[in-house]
Amino acid sequence: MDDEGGQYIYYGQPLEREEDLSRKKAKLAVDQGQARRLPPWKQEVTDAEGRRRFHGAFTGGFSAGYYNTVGSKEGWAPKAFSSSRTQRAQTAQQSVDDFLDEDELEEARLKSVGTSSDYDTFGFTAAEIARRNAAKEAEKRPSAIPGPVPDEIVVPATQSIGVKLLMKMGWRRGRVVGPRLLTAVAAARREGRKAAMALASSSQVEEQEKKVYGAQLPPSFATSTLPSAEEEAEEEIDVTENIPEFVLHPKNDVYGLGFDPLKNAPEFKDLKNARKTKDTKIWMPGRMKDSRDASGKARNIGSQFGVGDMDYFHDDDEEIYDTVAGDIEERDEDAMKVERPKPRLLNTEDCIPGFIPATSSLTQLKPNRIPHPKVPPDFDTRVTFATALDVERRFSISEPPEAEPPSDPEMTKLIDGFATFVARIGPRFEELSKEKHAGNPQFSFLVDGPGHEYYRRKLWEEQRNIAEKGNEPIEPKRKGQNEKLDAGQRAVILGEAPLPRQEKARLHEKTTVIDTSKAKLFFKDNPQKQERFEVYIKEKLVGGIKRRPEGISISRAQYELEMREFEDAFRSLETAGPKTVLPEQPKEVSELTAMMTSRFTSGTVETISLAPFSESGSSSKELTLTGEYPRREENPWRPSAMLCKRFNLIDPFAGKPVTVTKPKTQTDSFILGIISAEEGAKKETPQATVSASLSLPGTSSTIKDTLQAVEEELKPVKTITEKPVDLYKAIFSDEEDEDEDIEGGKETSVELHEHGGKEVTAKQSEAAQAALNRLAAGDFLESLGKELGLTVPVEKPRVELNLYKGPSRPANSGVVEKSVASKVSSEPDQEKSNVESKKTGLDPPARADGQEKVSRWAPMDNDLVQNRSTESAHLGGGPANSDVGEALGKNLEGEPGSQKKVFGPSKDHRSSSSSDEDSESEPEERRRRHSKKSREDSDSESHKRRSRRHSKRSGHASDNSGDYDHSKSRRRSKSSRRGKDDKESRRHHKRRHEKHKRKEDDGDGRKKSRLQ
Amino acid sequence: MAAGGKIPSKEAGVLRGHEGAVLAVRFNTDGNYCLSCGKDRSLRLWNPYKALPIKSYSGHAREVRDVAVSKDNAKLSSCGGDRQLFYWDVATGRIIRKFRGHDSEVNSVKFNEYGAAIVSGGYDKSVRAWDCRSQSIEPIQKIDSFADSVTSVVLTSTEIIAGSVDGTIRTFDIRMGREVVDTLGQSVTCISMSNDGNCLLAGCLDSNLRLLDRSTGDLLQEYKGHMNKSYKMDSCLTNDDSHVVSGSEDGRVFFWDLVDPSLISSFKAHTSVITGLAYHPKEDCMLTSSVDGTIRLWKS
Repeated sequence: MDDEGGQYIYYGQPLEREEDLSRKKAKLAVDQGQARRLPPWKQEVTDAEGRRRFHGAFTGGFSAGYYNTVGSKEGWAPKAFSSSRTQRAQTAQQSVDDFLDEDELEEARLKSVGTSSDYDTFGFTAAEIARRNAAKEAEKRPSAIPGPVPDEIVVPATQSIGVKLLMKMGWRRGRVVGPRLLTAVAAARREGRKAAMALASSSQVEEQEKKVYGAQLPPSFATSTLPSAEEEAEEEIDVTENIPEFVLHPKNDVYGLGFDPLKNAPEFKDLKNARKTKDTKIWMPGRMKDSRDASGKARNIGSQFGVGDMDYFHDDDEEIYDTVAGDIEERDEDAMKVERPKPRLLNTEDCIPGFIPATSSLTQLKPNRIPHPKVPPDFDTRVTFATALDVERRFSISEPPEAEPPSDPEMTKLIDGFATFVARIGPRFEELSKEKHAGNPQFSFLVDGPGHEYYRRKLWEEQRNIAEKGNEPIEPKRKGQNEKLDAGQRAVILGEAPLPRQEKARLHEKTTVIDTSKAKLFFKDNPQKQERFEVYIKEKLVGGIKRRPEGISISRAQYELEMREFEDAFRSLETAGPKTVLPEQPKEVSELTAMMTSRFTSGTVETISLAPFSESGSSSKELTLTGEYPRREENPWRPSAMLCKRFNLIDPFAGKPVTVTKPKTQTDSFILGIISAEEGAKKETPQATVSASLSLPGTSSTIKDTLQAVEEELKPVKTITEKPVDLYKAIFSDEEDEDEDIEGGKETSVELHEHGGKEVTAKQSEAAQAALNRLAAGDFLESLGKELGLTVPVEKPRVELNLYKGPSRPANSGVVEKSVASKVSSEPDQEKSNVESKKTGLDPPARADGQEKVSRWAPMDNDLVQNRSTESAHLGGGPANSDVGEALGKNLEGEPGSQKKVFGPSKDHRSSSSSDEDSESEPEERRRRHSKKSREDSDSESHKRRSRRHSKRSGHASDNSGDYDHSKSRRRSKSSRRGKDDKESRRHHKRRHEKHKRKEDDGDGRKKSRLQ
Repeated sequence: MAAGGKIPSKEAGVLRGHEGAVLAVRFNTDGNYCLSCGKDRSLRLWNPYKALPIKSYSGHAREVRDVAVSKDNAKLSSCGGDRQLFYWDVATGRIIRKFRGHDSEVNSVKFNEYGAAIVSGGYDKSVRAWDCRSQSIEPIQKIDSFADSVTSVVLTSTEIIAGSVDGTIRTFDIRMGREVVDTLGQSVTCISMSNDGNCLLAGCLDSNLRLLDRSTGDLLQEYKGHMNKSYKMDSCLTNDDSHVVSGSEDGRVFFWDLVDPSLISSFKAHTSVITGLAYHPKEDCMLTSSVDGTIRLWKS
């Protein structure tokens, strides 16, 4: 590359000038933050002066380690553990290698001792040469793979030089290395054998002797040993290969691999082998005989039999073979005779060399050595415990004659006491005493002194007494052994713990006993503790959750410890209680103790203490049914969290895990799934009177409100079913909402009633509407009548309706409303007169059918009115039992007023002012809608139900519509009210208060007006 | 008000209207009205003093066995042979909710103090509590430690007490989270609490009324003389806890002195078995219902 100057030619990259570098780097170094931000391989390590650190040309240069860090590319960051469903994290098996870097690994490897192919002179070099040859060859011949074949792929088979040499020397694989050692011994043996062969044909007997004489060897060697046999085999039979051991000696025992139990006892081994061969011979006698017949005394049996099991044993020991063959012959004959085989040990032939067969077997000696114990002929193998009967018998057998007590009363006393003792404790005591008081004249009665007779008699009596005591409770058992035991008895006999229920019941009975007598004795030294213990017992008996009492001066741990202590103490009391204190000890227990005492005759102190209680066992019979009941028992029980909430209680199990049950079915919602479109539309219709009554119960708990609601309800019966919106609102919305709802509902309802009152201005065009309404009303009444079991005329006389219903049913039917409205507006006096008339002839049955229906309802109004009068003192009505007529009259006469009074003060003002224009026009429209709706609704019962359900289901939607209506009406009422009482608060209670006040005012006003 | 324990033995009115047996009658909270239910599958609201039927609530598919009024008198709850509980709005007569869940007939129902929950006991050996506040129709608590039909349920502010045919009265203390079992050994058909809340009167099928001390479970007294062997029959204490009242299967009403179990009075009230009995909360006034289909008001 030519420079501009053209003078110099530069190769490579020039080093940066140190100054520039340092300046640059210094800046970088200063900007620590930046440096830190860079990844490690972009950072440059500088010294204090900002120079790049140079580590040396051969140790990293400018970037030693990993870009001047000690880390690696992976850094020192610990391995992150990651495990996914598909790739499970391997359980990290750490080794030392994981913590060594390469250098250390190298070092470690060098230190370790191991084989290396480098030092395998023959193998390695041979392999190397072979490889080179192969490579050369490969080069010569064409290959499928072009180019030189990689060494790694083709590795020629090599043999070590040693193997090669051996093979050159004639060795073949699988053969033993080394010359065949034909020892002199073996040679001599062979010679001997050859000699023997010559004599073999002479006689069997001679053979035996020949064997002895022929070979100057101990007999053990004379019988073929395995190694020699092998050698022979190799020598004589041209065995080309070494027969593997497992073929020659198949493992047919159960010892471990390679284990030879007779390793150090070759004699036994031989014997075993001999036996084995014999056994095999037995299997093929015929064949052997044949072969022998065919070949006579063939020398080489092996060839005859082939290479088999038999060969190596006897190939060179004909004499043995002959012996055996002779044996076989014998055996054959024996087998035909079915002779029982002789005991093996007694077989002289089998005798281990050096041993002499015993003349008598060990088994014959045995019985002489250890004679069996002689069982007495009257021995009974069954063990029978002494039952009461036995006890009785035992004492009745040896009844000593009656004896006079000794003259000395002291002596008598002594003898009595001693006899009792002996009877209870046992004869051992007597014996001991005899020894102890051998020289004592006072105890001479024990041996043979004066009073001995008396003592015997007394002792017998005592013993019998004890036996009888034990006997007593058993008696019924013996009698009624066929009788069934009940569960309790069985449990006692089996030693089962009583059921908690019974225990608890019994425990309760025990209370006082334990408290007073025994509990005092515990912790006497510590009065405070004693006190706590008593409290504990009391609590325990009463039951319930134990809580650590307040104001205890001990720590929690101590308290726990103490509780445990108390528990133990209480248990001991519990167990001791019935035994020692309780007179009503369960019968079973006494029976059991009696059984025990009779079973274990040797007396102890306990039997003494127990004995008296067997008598008290009978008292338990007095425990009658009435005594057992009522029993009390306590169990833990977990109330659900919701239950606690609804009962306004704190959940005692709060915080502990709860099993939540999911609602299984939602059948209601399925049923309600059927919604008609009209109903949906209906929802939007304004809220009627129902709302007021329905929303009441949620907020007010006074009956008055409810009854008002009832009254309200009963008047416009028809409207009830169709306006469920507020009902659900009242139930499901919270208090705040409810308050508002009430207002809204009330207001709307009031408006409606107002309309009833204002119906005077209704136009003629509404006549048709009214007719429809009437029809609807008729329908309704008819259905109602059916419900009540009354007949209702379809058409009702208007006058009567007026009379009985008054204006209280304005919302019900147009006709009624209309007429009522006119009545109310025009002639309040007439109403009064109606009332009077009613007062006189009130009895409902006296009236016509149509009237009766009404009268059925009218009293209800009365009722409510009456109730109201009783409830609300401010009305100042008659007493609670004031007669119906009066109540009714009050109701009727004050109808418009009372309505207002009931339904809200704001209405009062409005109606009294009655100048609100928009409230006049609005209601009309509303009324129309309402009546239409009512018509629709009165169609059928099912229809109603459906609508109700629908509204229930679609609570939200209806709520919304209701809200809308309420807000509307609220706004309206608010605006109308604003002029009058603008300071009225929105708070419900306040309003209510005002309402009450106004009611009073109103009532007064009405009274006044009436008076006028 | 309570007039010194005079015995209401004069008939003051008959409420007729039920078709068939009336199974229970209950005063409302203030005692001005009463509710009855019967085999005609309806509930009826009456003004007993005027012998006036006010309202009929129908909806049950089988006989109505018990009815309860919430403390604010705004809601009713009824139960019966159709295995469900109806939660009624008094005023509208509409069924607010139907609680299904009992596996068998429901014998008894009560509101809790706040009217927020209904507790019922039934032939299915269980006591269940139902939530009136939420929309759930599942029981909020199911207690099935009983061995036999639960005949009567009484609630206090913290406890559910239920009597069963298995001869036990079980008190479930919600606050303490424990169950107290009082075994009487005789089938309990009716339990009622004394007005002081200390005692429990249990009517048993051995024609015996037993008065138990609630705190200890002790048997305080037994009242005999009436006949109750097969019917679920009401018994109660008078409002001043001076007397024990019970119906009888022969149509008589029996009065005992509370302390000394002597029979004070008995009179023929109905022609047939007296099933329901309600004592006015304040006055010496009593209602009895009978299988003969009538409800009678008794005053002193």
